[in-house]
Amino acid sequence: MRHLTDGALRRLYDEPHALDDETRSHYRECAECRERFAAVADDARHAMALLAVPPATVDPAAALERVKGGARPAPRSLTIVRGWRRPAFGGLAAAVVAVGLAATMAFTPLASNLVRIFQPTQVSPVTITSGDLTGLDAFSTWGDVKWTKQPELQQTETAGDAARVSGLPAIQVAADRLPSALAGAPVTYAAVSGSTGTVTFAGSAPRKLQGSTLTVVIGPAETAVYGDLGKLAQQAQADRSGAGSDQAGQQAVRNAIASAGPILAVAEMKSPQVSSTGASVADIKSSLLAQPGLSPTVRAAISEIDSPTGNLPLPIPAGLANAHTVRVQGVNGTAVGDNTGLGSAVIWIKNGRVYGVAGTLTEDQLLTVANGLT
Amino acid sequence: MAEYGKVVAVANRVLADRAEAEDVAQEVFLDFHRKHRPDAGYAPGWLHRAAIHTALNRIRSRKRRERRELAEARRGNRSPVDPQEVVEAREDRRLVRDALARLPSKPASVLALRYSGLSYVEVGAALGVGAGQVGTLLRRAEQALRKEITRATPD
Repeated sequence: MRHLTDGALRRLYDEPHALDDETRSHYRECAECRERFAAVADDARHAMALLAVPPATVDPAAALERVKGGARPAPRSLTIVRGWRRPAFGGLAAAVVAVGLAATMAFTPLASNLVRIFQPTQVSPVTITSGDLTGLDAFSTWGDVKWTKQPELQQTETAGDAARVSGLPAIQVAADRLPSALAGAPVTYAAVSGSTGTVTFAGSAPRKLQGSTLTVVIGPAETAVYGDLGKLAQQAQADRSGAGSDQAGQQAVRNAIASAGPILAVAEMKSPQVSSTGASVADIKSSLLAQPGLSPTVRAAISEIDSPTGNLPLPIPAGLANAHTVRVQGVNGTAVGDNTGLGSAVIWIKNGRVYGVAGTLTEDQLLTVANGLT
Repeated sequence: MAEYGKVVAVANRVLADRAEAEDVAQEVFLDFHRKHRPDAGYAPGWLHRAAIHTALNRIRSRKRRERRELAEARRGNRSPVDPQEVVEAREDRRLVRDALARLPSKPASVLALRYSGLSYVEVGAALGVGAGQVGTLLRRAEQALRKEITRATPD
């Protein structure tokens, strides 16, 4: 493929997911294009700084009143509707303008103004401590988060049913990839509907974000859980009731696993999408990084959110688990090993879908299952 | 309501003056109402384009007025304040707006539209070009703005 044009590189800066996979793939692999992209991004940031203005917060209702006051007849309307030239025109014209404004605004639904700004295509682990989270409190005042569509879980009889409900390909684990302890184990299938959340920047959000709305679409998803979940839960509850400390509680879970057998969960989800009515990933990153009190780890994690490549840092709590990058299904994924010995997980993104396998198994066993998914 | 806010944002990006931007938005909406059907599919693009042109025209006429006022002040007809000081005090704020107004219409428009938060599709609709061309126009416009600013501030 030829090098990317300046125009394509410029759009990559603002709307990376508007470009096709081939373009983004070329960008990832071409050092020359990445170098040119840096110059393009520099000019874009320079222009953005030059053209920065105080936000123009508007009061549409007051604007409507002003427009009503200044309304004059629309010639075309007058030729269509007879009898408008009369003393009561002022009020009628105001109504026409009101309808016109409403119509003009209404036929441009919010969805058509949304630009997809981020969709993760790969994950990379970032180990965080509780201290890293202390600088993040300020972000809670940047805007209101609303769930406009809640996820709904639906248990199904078969993998095919879960696939039909979720719209995703059915989860299929090759029998010879399952650990022997799970051969013949019961399987529970479920589908989870997609969910949508929005955050509108207001309050103490930085000026360049004010007024922008981010929409996050998560899922749909489907899961297949191998093992006797009910027995495991019952056993763990019974053992835990007699456990007085965290250590004893963990031992109780180990006992429950030994008694009920291992559990393996396989999940597949459509890769989340973030859309924006204005603010770009670069705007949001620069605003986040401008905040005081962020730990170096959080700063590094924010810096790693990369729109052109779709890299998404995956926060992993330090002490509870260690995480590292693994190769799975031909792509980079993240393996999370539980230091307590209670379980592991592997997460990766491929073909626009997020996959995860987790369970009370070793990392090698999980990777065998993960690489056997078809 | 989104469209009104966008038109104000576009005008404000050019004028850097919220009150004047609202004036422009009102003028543009009324103008649209007088000349077009309210349900015309091209309304958003028309409104955005009109907002840019109206705002750029206001900057250009403002510059002409300021030059005239400055000339009168220099002849001793007006302000007791040193006219040069008045000009310098506002120079930084105006520099970018003036540079924007000196650019050809299309580069100035693509900058104001994009930096007002419009998507490539919306910018393309306002300028009558495909969304695929917007990146090229924007890149050239940013380079042109940088050159214009550098030329205006040689130090």
